[in-house]
Amino acid sequence: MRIGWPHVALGLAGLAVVAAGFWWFAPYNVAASQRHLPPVRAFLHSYMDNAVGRRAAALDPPDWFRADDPALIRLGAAHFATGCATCHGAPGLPRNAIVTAMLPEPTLIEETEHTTREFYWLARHGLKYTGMPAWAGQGRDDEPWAVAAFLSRYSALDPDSYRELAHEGGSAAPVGAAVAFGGMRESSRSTIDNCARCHGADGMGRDGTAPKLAGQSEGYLLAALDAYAADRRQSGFMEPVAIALTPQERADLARRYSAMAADLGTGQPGRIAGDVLRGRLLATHGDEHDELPSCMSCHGAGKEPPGLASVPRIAGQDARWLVTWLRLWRDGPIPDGPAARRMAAAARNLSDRDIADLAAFYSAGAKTEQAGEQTAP
Amino acid sequence: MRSPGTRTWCGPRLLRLAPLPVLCGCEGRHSWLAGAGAEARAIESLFWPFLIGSAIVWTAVMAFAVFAYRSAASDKGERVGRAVILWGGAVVPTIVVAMLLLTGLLTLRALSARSPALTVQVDGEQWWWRVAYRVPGQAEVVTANEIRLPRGETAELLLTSDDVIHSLWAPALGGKMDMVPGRTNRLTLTPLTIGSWGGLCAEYCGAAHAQMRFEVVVTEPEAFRDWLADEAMPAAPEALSEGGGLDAFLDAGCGACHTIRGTEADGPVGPDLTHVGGRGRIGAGLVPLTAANLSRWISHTDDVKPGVRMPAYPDLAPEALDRLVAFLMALK
Repeated sequence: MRIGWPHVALGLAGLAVVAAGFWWFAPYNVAASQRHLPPVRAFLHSYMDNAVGRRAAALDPPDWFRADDPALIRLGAAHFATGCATCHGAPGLPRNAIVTAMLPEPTLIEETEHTTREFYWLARHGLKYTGMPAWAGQGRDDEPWAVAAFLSRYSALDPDSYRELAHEGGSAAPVGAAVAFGGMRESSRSTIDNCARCHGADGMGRDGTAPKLAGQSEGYLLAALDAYAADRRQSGFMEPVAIALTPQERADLARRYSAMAADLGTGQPGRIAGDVLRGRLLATHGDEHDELPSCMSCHGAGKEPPGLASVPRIAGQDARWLVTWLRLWRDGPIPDGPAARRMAAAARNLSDRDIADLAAFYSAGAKTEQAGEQTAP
Repeated sequence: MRSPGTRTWCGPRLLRLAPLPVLCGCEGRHSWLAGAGAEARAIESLFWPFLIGSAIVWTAVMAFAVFAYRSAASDKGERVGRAVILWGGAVVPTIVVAMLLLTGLLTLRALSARSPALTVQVDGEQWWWRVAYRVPGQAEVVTANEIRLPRGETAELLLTSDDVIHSLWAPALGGKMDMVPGRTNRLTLTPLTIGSWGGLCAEYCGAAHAQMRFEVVVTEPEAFRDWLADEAMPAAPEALSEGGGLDAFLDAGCGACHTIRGTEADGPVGPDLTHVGGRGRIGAGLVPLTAANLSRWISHTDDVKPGVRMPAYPDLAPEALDRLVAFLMALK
């Protein structure tokens, strides 16, 4: 018998009927209580490995990324404690039984073998059909690199060194994630500790991954916290923290940090050396040809506070944070709101060199102050 | 549903709108037939003979075509026809076009040969005009979006651009001339009629190109010199001392982009505002300068001029906005 088109059509129709029947009667159980059949599990798992591996291999880490950067590892650890440990566990931190009843069960990091790029890809994009979410800060491609740096280091950590990294050895540490999962609030004492992990207990920052908050205006701090909580300002680190706070707690925090010493002193220098003098010239006078407004007109010169409460102080901030945010203002994601649109308009034409020079100048702190009084060469 | 009565009127109504685009060109402020400048008149004196000449040539060609179509074929007609094609189709047009070219070139030379009494640099920016008067032995006098010229004197405009190609055109006075980044083009204007003439950018330059306009204000030479002397002065002291307006300006960070001479505001990016209150319009010739327009411009800039580079200040406290507007209006 010759096989012709009618046979093929009939065969396809038969397949469609079988598929529709499969869909309708749903013989394969989706219950998490029912483990996958071993071949199904093997197929799904190996497919996921391929899908992640292929895409991660095509990634290019940014020029500023070093997997052994202690600041990134610390930041990644702090975020892991906030956002990941609940499901993935952590050294010395048992997982909640609710979590282990998930299917697929969230992977224990020590049982995985991933490259740094794969860790980045997983943290940035998450996984469909599992509980793994994508990065909470939309468009913040820079942030998950910290998590990748931390996870690359993970298997070498014992409970003490993990606690030291993620919580600065704070007493609230082991409780945190597992208890909060049940919807229980942490005490306000630990709220302040949470902020201090990155911003410092004195509001003077830690390692340049987060801004100094001391002496910023209450209005600015509250607006930023509210914007994070309302998803109008993007950050996978800040949004989960801000949204967990009540409006009253946000107001209290803003007041608390704004009351701290206003002198930001000197910031830590950045990895990329910038030209302080050129930065000062740009910050003081702007540039006609590149259409760069002067920074000082809005942000104030030296110890002088900014003219509008919606504008932060930047003199004395750490170079690393300055570079991160100047790039964000230029490349996005731009936070919502008129003040943010003004900053984006100002940063529109900054070159990488401009950013390095401005960061060098502003992180030089005390020199900034003199610069406000001097005229440009 | 529309009633049939409405529908019958629809066609004629649209037809009545048809000549509108043509009529727009006749509005005096923007008309190159207004004869407000020597250069525009020189072009106009070419235009009419050319138009009449073209009409005669066109009529003659059409007449010949009709005649040729109607006459019967003959040997004699064939010979004459070849001669007509040779002379009328090649020789005479060559002579006419050569004469046109010569006249055009001579006019062009005459236009640029006038020796200027005044040099103004106009720098095209997205989407406004930076205007700088170069007075020998004196600092440049910088203003924006309004070019003042003395009647009867030839002004040399040095045209540059900092970003993309713009083209400066004040049709009533003459022009137009492109502004090309990296080049300085020269255009001379000799205004003959006192008045405020409209100008615009004649080369598509981005989102707000259609709103990139300017004014050319032609005054008597004495009035012009007085104005230029005033314009060279720093900002009016009474405006600076009054009502905390300058503080509102500086606190809002306006000085990052705008310069007001005599204050610490030295921003190089946007228009110089030292004497903004003396200008007729804001937003690069867009809307008349009134307190209400200025207030709307500052608080909702992008609504007035979509795509504009200046960011809006909708969050400015109302009383700060009022003080700011009063201050800017007082900068005569």
